[in-house]
Amino acid sequence: MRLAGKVLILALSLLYAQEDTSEKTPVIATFKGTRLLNYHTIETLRKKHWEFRVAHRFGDIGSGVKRLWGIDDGARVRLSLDYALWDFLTIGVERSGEGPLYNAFLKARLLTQTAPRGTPVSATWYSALFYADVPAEKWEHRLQYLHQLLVARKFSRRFSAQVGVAYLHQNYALAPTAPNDYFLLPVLLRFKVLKRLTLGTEAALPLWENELEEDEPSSYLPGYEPAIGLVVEIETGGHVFQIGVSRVSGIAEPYTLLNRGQSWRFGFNISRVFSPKDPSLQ
Amino acid sequence: MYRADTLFISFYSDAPLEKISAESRKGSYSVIHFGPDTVYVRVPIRSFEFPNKLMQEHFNEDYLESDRYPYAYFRGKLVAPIPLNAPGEYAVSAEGDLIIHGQAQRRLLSGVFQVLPDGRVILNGKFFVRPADHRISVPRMLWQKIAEEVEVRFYGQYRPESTK
Repeated sequence: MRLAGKVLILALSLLYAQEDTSEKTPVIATFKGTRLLNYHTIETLRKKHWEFRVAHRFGDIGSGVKRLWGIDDGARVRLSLDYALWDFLTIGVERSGEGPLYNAFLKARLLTQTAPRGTPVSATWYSALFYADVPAEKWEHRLQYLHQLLVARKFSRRFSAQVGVAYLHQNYALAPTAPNDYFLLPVLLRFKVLKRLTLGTEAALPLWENELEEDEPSSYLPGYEPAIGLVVEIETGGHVFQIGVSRVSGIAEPYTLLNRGQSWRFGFNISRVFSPKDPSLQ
Repeated sequence: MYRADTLFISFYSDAPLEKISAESRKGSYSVIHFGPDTVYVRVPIRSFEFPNKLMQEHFNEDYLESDRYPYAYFRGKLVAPIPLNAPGEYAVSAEGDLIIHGQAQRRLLSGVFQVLPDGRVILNGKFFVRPADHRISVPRMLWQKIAEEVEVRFYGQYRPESTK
């Protein structure tokens, strides 16, 4: 009987040891925000939190001082509103200046990295439906879909990296030779330089050969250049400012993942997260 | 030896532009040895829950740096002994090191001990922490949002436990 008791205590202590959560603390702040400059990060909001974002992308920096490096040329503007139904599911609606282009998306957190042991990476699924409010022969020509699997790891308190696979489908191809479906590899890096200042860089690498081939007529997007960006993030206690330059042809994902042309643009994002019991809302 | 089976720690920062509060309800560890009258408290920084989770993230990342300094501690000694065999309320003080953000400060903290007839001891009280004393830097831009002195409240329920 006494032996049985000891065995039971041993078993319970082993069980307790396995459930010791201090070895597996969820990693926070892999990225400062739910987006870096142009692309989504694995970050999702916490339950019942809201995020409002305003983003601008200006004209071609190459226009020089006379056009204030593109700032005089007006800006593409994007407004985004995200809401977290649960910790693992964020939904959002956005409106951007191309068309205009409306979209709704969902982000589902699949994995959360734990430290020092346990899950090595965080992963998030992203799906979005885009609707361009432009003249079109058929209604469905205005639609585009984007799905992404994003995987990130915070390697240290200063460095995080993310890779993803993005699948973009456009019902109406951008050019007679252009495909309807694209696979891309978005890569995001974050370097925390100071406590409230980080540097980031991002690129969307193509997973197809952008060449005109006779046996595969729709594989060439004229003017395609892989998109790339650099960003500085500044956190001011409530707001996050992201200021950067990127080689993109617009502001929404179909234009930032699929860049056409050589233009680099200044741009910035401002984001604010609201919590359900936020005193500033009452 | 008395060990806390319940220990709640909360803090409140009342600055002109923002009122911030957070609460830790689990994960803390505390023991009091009533012969030598020593007090030990260990509070995981990650256990503080804020209504605004972004604030919670900033608190951990930029202020308390909980990946480097995962716990706050108090190690001290009661200034006067507590008559454990006489139920009642007693004002107490403990002198010792308050360690937050890896920075120790010699402090005299006060509270109230309630000795219950069933042998439990309830401890509660409050004290103030100056972030600057613990090298918790507040950017000049945020001075209006974070109080110079943060009020910390504690509530613990202790039960006697045989020492092994």
